[in-house]
Amino acid sequence: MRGAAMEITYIQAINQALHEEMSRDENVFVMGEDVGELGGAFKATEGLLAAFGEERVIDTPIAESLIVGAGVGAAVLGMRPVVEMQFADFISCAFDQIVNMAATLRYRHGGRASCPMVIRAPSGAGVHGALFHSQNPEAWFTRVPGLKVVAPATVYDAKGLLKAAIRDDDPVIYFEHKRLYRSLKDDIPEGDFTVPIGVAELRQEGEELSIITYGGTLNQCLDAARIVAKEDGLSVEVLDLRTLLPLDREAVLKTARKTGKVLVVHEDRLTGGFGGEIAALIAEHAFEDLDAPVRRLAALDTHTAFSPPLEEYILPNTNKIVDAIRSLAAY
Amino acid sequence: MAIEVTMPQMGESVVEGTIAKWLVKEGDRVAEDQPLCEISTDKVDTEIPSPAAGVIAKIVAAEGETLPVGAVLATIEEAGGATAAAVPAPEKEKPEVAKPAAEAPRPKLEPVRRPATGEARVAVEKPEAVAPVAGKPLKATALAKPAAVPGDHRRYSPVVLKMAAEHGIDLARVPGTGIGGRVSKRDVLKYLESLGQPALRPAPSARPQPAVTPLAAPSAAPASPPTPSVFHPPVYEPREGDVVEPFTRRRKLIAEHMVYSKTHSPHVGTVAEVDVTRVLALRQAHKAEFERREGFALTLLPFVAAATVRGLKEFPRMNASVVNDALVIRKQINLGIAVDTEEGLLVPVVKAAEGMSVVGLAREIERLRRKVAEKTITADDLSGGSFTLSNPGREGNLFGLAIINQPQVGILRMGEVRKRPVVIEADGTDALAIRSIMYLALSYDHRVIDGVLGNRFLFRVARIIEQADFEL
Repeated sequence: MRGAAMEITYIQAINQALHEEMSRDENVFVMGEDVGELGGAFKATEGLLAAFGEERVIDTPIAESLIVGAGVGAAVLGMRPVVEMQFADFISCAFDQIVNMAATLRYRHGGRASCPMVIRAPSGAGVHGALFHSQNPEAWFTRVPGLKVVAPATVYDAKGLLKAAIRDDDPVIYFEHKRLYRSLKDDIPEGDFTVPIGVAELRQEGEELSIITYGGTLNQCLDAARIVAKEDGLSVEVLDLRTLLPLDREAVLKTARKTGKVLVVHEDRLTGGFGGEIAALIAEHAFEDLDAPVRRLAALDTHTAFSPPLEEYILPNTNKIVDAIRSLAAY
Repeated sequence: MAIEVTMPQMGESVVEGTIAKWLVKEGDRVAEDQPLCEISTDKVDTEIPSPAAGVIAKIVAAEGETLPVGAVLATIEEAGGATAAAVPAPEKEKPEVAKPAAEAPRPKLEPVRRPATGEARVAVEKPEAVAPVAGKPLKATALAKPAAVPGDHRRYSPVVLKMAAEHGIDLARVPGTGIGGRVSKRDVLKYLESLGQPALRPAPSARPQPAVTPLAAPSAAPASPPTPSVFHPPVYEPREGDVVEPFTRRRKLIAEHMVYSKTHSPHVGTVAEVDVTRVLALRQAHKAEFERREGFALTLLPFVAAATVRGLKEFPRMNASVVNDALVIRKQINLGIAVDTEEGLLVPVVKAAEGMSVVGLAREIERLRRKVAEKTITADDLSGGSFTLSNPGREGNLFGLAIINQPQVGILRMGEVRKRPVVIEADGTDALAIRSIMYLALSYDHRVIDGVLGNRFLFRVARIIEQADFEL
């Protein structure tokens, strides 16, 4: 049972998780550009400096490789750093530290060392941020063993997954969607709870087809499911992956086998996006239960434009999901 | 030679039929007996088989049109006919090309396509049309349309093929509502519901899945239950001269009923030897007078029917239905009498048989028999049975175990009557005697009828017949 409910935003959930984890465990500290004095570009770390002091809330130079590299070192020595990429778009600067250092650490030491670090990465488009402030780079990391990759889509998961990530003994990249920061509000229980990493959540049960999604597109998918339920009488199942790595394969295959028709939706680009992995998994292991080819709806294979109409054209949205559902249902 | 396809006589009272759907189009090559179109009447729905092999020259009747019996629906140019090659298809598009082709000497291709014999009765032309696919069900389209009908390019998704195999569905009969008439999983579920089959969700394949963590130790837990194996009969290989006879609607219903009964009711069969000498003597004594009075012959059947009714009165649990998870004991005895007809078995029902004498039963059985022969039998005459008696005839029938007519719980089947030497006891000593013996077999549903009850009922009916204590 959840405790007393309290309505907060997605970003407040992140802020709460940081406050609570830093209070709970003195080894937890945050580090990043403007996370201290400014309280973060998006105010995710607001109030932490006052509460925990500058030894545990560290403003860094604009150098993502340094931020992650320092985090790896601290983590090896037993700290639990939560480092922030101001925008996930800049995570590429820290790529070597993440995929070659953090991700391989446990393996290189034969399991005798670990890297309990969280990399918070504000990602996603739909906020007119143009090409350097709109990216969804999760697929660069979902093929790297040693990493965990999560992408909360609800206020509850934003808090619970961040807390679980901080307590995890391996490096976790935590993709938080900027569009959800203040647009998403929910009543969530006060106090301590976590959301298990590696477990997907069925957001809506349905019969005709399944949507598999995560992060910023979950609510669009749920809206689309409501529209087709009302206008077309279609019963759509919606699975929220929540964690991309390790993937909850059982949940993916279960819904695919149940309905036989799967639509994968994500905001990342189509080609090389995580949807391809989902589609391949289903084709390999649930082929006999398929009633239609697996469909993917994702951003177009181009940069996210600054122009609002162009941005709208490039990204998935509720109307596009409704169309995709209808065409798949008719197959 | 042109052959006309006409609206068939589908029953005495049926004077017209409606074209529900054409299964072929003009220019199609058809095999003899290949279904050409679906006809619906107020009594039956059926398919019209092609009277000959050839090419559909013209379709006269449109879909949705209602036409009297005997009306021409289409014409077929017979395969062996001189004008068989004059397929109308080309002239629609490019007459200037078609014309010289028609006048020019036939290309060498043509004789090859002709059947080797002069006889045009070639139902199966292209054996390669039915390619066996390992592990896949034989597509019913292959059976129904052995000659590879152009235009039938239906493809099915993996789950639809799997469901068809699991339920033994003829996919050609499933209406498709997907894009381009595609048959979807939903269509199959709807079709199953329409058949009254339990519309089970397709069982997800139970093969082992890779674990989430590939490093997990091999599980010592028992393997998941094996997928029930689905038997596929050997793939049909067409041979020249085969005649494909698609199921009529009645045959299909009978088939489904029989399979349902065999799979739902565990049948137990038990057989009694019945000495019918006395009852035959009784029949002999009244035969002439009876026929003069009633206008039809007195047979053994009404005596056995009367004995059955008496037995059911004494063992009411045999006069029952299985309804869901309950045994419903019926008060009224409605005795079904299985009758063989040209179109398959029919079981007219003698209603309220508990109040009838042998004569009354004989009259009612005769009345129903006549209605069947005259094809005026109604749905009411055929429904509501609570127990069934089958009399499949004398020859080659020592005894046989009938399949229960659902949802009843038992069926009696009369075997042949033959004179046999039997040991009888007279005045405390055994003696050999020549008696008329009939084997009477009872099949009962072991879900609800235990062996003791089944045996006692059968023994009692046998004794009633043997005692021949009937009023005439």
